Amino acid sequence: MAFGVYSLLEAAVLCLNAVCVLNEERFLSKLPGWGGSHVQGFGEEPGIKTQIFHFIRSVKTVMKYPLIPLNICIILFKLIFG
Amino acid sequence: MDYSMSGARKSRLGQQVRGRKPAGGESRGPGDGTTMYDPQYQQQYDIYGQPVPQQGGPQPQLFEDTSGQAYNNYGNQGYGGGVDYGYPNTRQGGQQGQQAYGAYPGNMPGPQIFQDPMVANMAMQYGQSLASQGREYMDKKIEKYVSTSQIKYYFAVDTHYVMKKLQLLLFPYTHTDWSVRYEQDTPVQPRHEVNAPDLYIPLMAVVTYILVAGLCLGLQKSCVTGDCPELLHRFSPDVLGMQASSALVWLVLEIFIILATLYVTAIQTHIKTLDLLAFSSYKYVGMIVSLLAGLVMDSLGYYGVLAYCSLSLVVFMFRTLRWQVQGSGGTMEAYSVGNKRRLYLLLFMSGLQPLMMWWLTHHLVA
Repeated sequence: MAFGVYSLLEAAVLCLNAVCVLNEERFLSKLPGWGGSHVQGFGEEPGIKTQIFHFIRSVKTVMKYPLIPLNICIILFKLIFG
Repeated sequence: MDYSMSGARKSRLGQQVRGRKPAGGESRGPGDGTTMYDPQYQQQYDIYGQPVPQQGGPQPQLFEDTSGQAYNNYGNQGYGGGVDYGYPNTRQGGQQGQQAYGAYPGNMPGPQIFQDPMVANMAMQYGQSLASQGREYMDKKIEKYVSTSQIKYYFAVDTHYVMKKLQLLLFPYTHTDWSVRYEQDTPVQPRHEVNAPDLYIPLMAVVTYILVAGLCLGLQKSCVTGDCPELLHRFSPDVLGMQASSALVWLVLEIFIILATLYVTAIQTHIKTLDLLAFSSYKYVGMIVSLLAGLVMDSLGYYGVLAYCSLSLVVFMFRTLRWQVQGSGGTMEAYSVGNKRRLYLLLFMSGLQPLMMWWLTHHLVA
């Protein structure tokens, strides 16, 4: 049962953390299909796997730096207000 | 009626006009718009036939008689003149504003000046121009974040549409034509097209759901702590706020999941985010009906009506979204991969609805 908007924010930050923490060289490179944006034709639909990999890569690129102050804020909030 | 300055003057020919009080002994003709001075009774009347309060003693004529022009300053001096009684012997010079003060000695232009049609007209125009300026400013500011013209499309509904749509939500089995008419790439407004999504019903449904949830909680008693001398109602005012925010949160989550699914499966649709918001919120109508049935007959009524509403909503969503997700025409397209994905997406979206309906209401029915 969701409790409110703050819970949604916390859940979102936690999920983004989970995506950004995936290590590139130890884990993601080992996945089959990870390097592949060159194997796809033009008119075809991209497979689900490539879409997910695109998604992960873009989230990591975009959210890596903004997540640091967001996490700090939430930690401070939890420390002060419990 | 002619409200121009000259017209006002003309129409007041021969009438008593609020104007400067002439000094003692002088009488002015009616054509120049001063107050009528009745030398016999030492009394002056303004345009309403009310006696203008006299001020002590004769006062010197200091100004040109420009009562017609004094009407120019009505809007401005309505406030200034209200403060200052405008004794003419304290004002010198021929300035318009001061003439206006001097023109109404001892007579505060109180609220009855708005009965004067010219003043009312001017005040109305001034107020209207202010309001429209404010509205344009706000529109410009808001347009950057939320496109108001798009939202206006979703609220262009009428009673007939709302009745038809509610009927469709609860009984979609006999409706045959689910296609949406388009005009130049945008769907026709909801008031002309029953199958188009709108945001009015969802908005009303969400608010009603919150109120009905409060009602359900208020009719139940429960005991939260271990031992209570008497059972407490489960309702308190902050529960309403919690229900509202949790309903919103689940809505946002559901839309996000659907958007993510749309992205990952790379389905080409022209379904917009606001459309998704509308479709996701149609389930609140079914939820309200089930909750009310659950009030009447406890669990049996609730689950029975919930099952029926879920079925109706699934059929409604499936049939409506088949047209929206398919792209143009609604016919199955050539390559089969896209079809299968679309089908799965439709089934996923439609199947998510009963689950959400149950999840959001079962805690309200004991």
